[in-house]
Amino acid sequence: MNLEPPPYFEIEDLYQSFDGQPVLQGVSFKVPRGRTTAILGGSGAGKSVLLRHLNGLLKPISGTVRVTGIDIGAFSERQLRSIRRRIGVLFQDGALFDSMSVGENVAFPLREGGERSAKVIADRVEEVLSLVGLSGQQAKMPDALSGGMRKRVALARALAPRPDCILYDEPTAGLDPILSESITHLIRTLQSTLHITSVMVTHHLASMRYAADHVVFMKSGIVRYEGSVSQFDQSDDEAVKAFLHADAMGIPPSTSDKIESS
Amino acid sequence: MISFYGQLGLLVRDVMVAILTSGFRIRQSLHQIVVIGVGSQVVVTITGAFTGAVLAAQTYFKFSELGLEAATGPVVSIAMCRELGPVLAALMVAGRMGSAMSAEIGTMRVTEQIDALRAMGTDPVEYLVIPRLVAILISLPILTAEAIWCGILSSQFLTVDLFGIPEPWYTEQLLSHTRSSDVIAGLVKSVLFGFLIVIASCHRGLSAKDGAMGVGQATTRAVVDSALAILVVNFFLSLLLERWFPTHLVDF
Repeated sequence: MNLEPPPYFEIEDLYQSFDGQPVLQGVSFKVPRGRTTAILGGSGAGKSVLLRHLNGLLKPISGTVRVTGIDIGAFSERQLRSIRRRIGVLFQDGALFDSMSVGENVAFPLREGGERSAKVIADRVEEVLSLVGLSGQQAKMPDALSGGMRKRVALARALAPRPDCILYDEPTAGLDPILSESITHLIRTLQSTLHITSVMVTHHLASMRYAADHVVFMKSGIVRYEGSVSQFDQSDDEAVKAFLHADAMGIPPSTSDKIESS
Repeated sequence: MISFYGQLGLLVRDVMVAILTSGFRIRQSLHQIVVIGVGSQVVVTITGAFTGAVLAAQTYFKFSELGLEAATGPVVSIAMCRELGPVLAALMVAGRMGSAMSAEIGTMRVTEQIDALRAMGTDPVEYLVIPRLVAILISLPILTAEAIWCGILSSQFLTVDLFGIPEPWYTEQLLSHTRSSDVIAGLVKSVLFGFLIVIASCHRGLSAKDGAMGVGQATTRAVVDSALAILVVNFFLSLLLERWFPTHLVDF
C-alpha cells in the first residue's frame, strides 16, 4: 500500500499562450511537500505565468494541475476558493489594497476566512507583522511604505491565515541586497519552522541556492532542468550552463537571453 | 463586438449568482451608498432645478402666445417625471460615479489587486461589484425623485413668482395632469439605469489593461458606454412604460 502523500503540486504537460504567442510549451514538474521549490529562469521564460496556474488564477490551454492530488482543471472560481485559501501568494509588487491600511490589509484574509473576533484578528495581525519585522505599523497606508516594506506587508498578509503553501513571485526583485537577503532568510525560516511548502519564482541564483531544496529551471516556456540544488551546477543542459555562466560574469540573465537570441 | 456583449452577459450572470448565493456585504454597500448617493445629491439637485427652470421658461414663452400658460406646470412635471428626471440624474451619476468605479476597479486590475483578491479566495464581483450595485439601486431612484422635485419646484418659482401665473391655478393644473403612473414610470427607469451604469462601468474596470493609459481608456469608455446605454434604453423603455403605466390613464 502506498502511504506516501501526493506532491503538493503536480504539473503535467501545461500549455499556455497569449495573443498567439506561446508562453508555456508542455511544462511538467512536481513540487514536493514541506520543501522550497525554486522556479528559476531568465526574464520572459514564463515563470510568473506558470505560478499563476498553480492556484488557478490562469487556466491552461491544455495540461493538468493537481493540487495535493486533486485536479483543479474543471474547477469553477467558486470551487477554487477553498484551495486558494490554503495557498498564500506574494505578488511581485505586493498587490496591497491601496485603499486600506497595513493592518486592514493583513486582516483582510482573516476576515474573508470567516474570523469574527476583533481581538483574534488584531493579535494575529500583530503576530505576523512582527514576524516580518514591521511590528506596530498597522495604521500606515501602503503608499507611505518603501518597496521593501510593501513586500514584507504583503508577505505578512499571505501568512496571516496560516496557509500550508506560499507562492512567491520574484520575492527579491527590486530590493537592495540586504533586504533581499533578509526576505530570502525569512522564506527559509518559514519553511524550516512552519514546514510550509514554498514555490519561489526567481532569477536570482544566490537566493535560490540559499532558500531552495528543489529547482525547476525554465527557458522559453520549457523546463530544462528539474532536480536538487546541488546537482543543478553539474547539469549538462546548454541553457543551464549559459545561465550559470552569465551569473558568474555578473551579467543579469535577462540580458544574456537577448544576446544569445540575437 | 460579440465578445463584448458576451463579457457583459457573463458579468450579469456572475452578479446574479453572487447575489443569490452569497447575498451582499452590508458594510461595503453602506459605504457605497454614502459615496454614490449622498455624494451625488448636490449635482443631481442642481441639474434637476435648472432643467426644470429652462423647460418651464421655454414652454411658458411659446404656450403663452397660444393662451396655454396654465399647461406649463403639467408639461414640466410630466417631462421631468418620465424623461428628464431619470435620464439626467442617471447621466450625472454615470459621469460622476461610473468613471470613479471603472478607475478604481481598473487600477486594482492593473496593479494585481484583483488577482490578490482572487488568490485569497474572494470573488471580485461579490466584493467590488455587488455593493456598488446595491448602493446604486437604492440611491438612484431617490436621487431621481430629488431631481424631479427640484425641477418642478424651480418651474413653479419661475412661472408663478416671475411670470405671474396664479399659484392655485398652476398647482391645480399640475396635480390634475400628473398621475402616479408618471412618477412610477420615472422611478422604474432609474432602477434600470442604475443597473446599466454599474454593469457597464465595472465591466470596463475589470477588463482594464496596459497600466495607466488602460485605466484612462476604461474610464472614458465606462462613461460613454453608460451614457449611450441610458439614452438608447430610455427610448425603448418610454415606449414600454407607456403601455404598462400609461400617462392618459384617467384616475380622477
